[in-house]
Amino acid sequence: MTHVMDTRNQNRAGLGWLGQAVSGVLLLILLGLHMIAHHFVVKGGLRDYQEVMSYIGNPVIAAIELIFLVVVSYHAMLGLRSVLLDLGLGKSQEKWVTRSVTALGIIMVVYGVWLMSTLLSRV
Amino acid sequence: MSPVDSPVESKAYPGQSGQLPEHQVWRWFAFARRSLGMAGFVLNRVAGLGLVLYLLIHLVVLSQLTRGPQGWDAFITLARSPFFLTLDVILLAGIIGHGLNGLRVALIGNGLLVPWQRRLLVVLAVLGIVLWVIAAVLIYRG
Amino acid sequence: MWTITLKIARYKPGEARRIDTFQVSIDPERTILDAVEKVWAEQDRTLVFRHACHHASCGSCAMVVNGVEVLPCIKLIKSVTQPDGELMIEPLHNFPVIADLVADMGPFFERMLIVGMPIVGAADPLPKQEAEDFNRFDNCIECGACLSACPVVATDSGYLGPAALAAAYHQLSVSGDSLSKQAWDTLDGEHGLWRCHATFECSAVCPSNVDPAGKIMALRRRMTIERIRQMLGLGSRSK
Repeated sequence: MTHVMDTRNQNRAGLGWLGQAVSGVLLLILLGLHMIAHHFVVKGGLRDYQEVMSYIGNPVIAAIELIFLVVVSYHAMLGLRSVLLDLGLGKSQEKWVTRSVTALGIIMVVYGVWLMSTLLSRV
Repeated sequence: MSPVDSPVESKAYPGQSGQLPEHQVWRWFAFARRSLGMAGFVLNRVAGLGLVLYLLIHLVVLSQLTRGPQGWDAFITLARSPFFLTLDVILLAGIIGHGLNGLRVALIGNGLLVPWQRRLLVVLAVLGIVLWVIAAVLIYRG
Repeated sequence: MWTITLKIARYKPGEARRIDTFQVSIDPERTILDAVEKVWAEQDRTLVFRHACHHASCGSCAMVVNGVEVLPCIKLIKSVTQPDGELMIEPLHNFPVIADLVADMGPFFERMLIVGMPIVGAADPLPKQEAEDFNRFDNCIECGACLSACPVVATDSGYLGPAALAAAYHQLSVSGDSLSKQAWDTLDGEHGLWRCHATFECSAVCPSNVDPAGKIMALRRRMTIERIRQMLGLGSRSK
């Protein structure tokens, strides 16, 4: 008989759930900062090109925005996967869903890193 | 898919499937006459899917920055139109709703504050509406 | 006496589903089950519905009334409608329907079997000592209302569901039992404990104070604490 509390026997579904909860709480902070910085402290509520470039020219800001991208991509893809898994798919379909959302998440982060480095090269 | 073998012929009633009906996606949105928690679930699901779509669009739109001031500033002019501002207000409702209900689910789902889950939902809903109204006023006022 | 309209979902194998409408004159202090029985007794003897104890201890009469799961044997007419009112009566959602208002409860008990709930087969006489092993002292009357109300069960027939998860909590926390490897892998897998989205609809419709959602969250809490303790190298609290 397996004891429930032996974490060597715990499966990854619980880890995914914990990751979703933790990333969600982090996003309350990161998204809040992002929204305030881009829309609520800027005159007119939107940064024009020059204002964006001078904003991300600060390496701390650039780092925070990249961390935000990683966290939001993780949370979004895990959430999308959760909704799709609720559909009661077969095991092989579930594997494809996991691979697809993982790939999409990686693409989003790689794209974001590329975009940030392209813009930073022009600062 | 059944947690046992699938499909399962009902032992008690030959000819009947022992399978639960599947893929009734409309039941995700059937919150009429249901509990507040069900309304929260529907809001979270609709807002979450909307936000995933928005995130992808937002990332694509950001590529306008690579076109320099001509590309980006033209987009900003468009984004300041009343139609886009209204979309922003709707987006914000989704963000606040998903965020605050998500906070509730993160707490409850890890076994915290479970006896107060309904009260927590009401408190966060009121907070969310207040934040949304304030933000909407700021958005429209520019 | 009130005159109310009952719209009852009908189905017989081989026939298309339909809604039949009945007018019933009934004392509003009577129950919904009384109204359904009146329809059967006075208007349509082909109406099929399940009932036994008539006092919310057997769970066999559970059905959906006006979109919400209830035990009609204890739900008074006056609590759900008014004079000239209308009741939409359907079998439990998310179960195969045998006929009319009778759901096939097989999928419910298959889930209970997975988490180790012993179920005595028909006509199995047991010695007294063995019989005591099959007693399960829990509020759950196995009516199926929670599975009917759960939006995840509606789309994922592989999801263990509120009743079995609450039963597992009872096994582990109250009885102090363990689970088999198969039960554990299902409970802790993608279609077990972690599939719940905290709608709490199961607890809202449960007629018997089981609070399955609360038990799911309690089990999650224990497992999350253990996982974090292991991550931090604090060691397990399990025996």
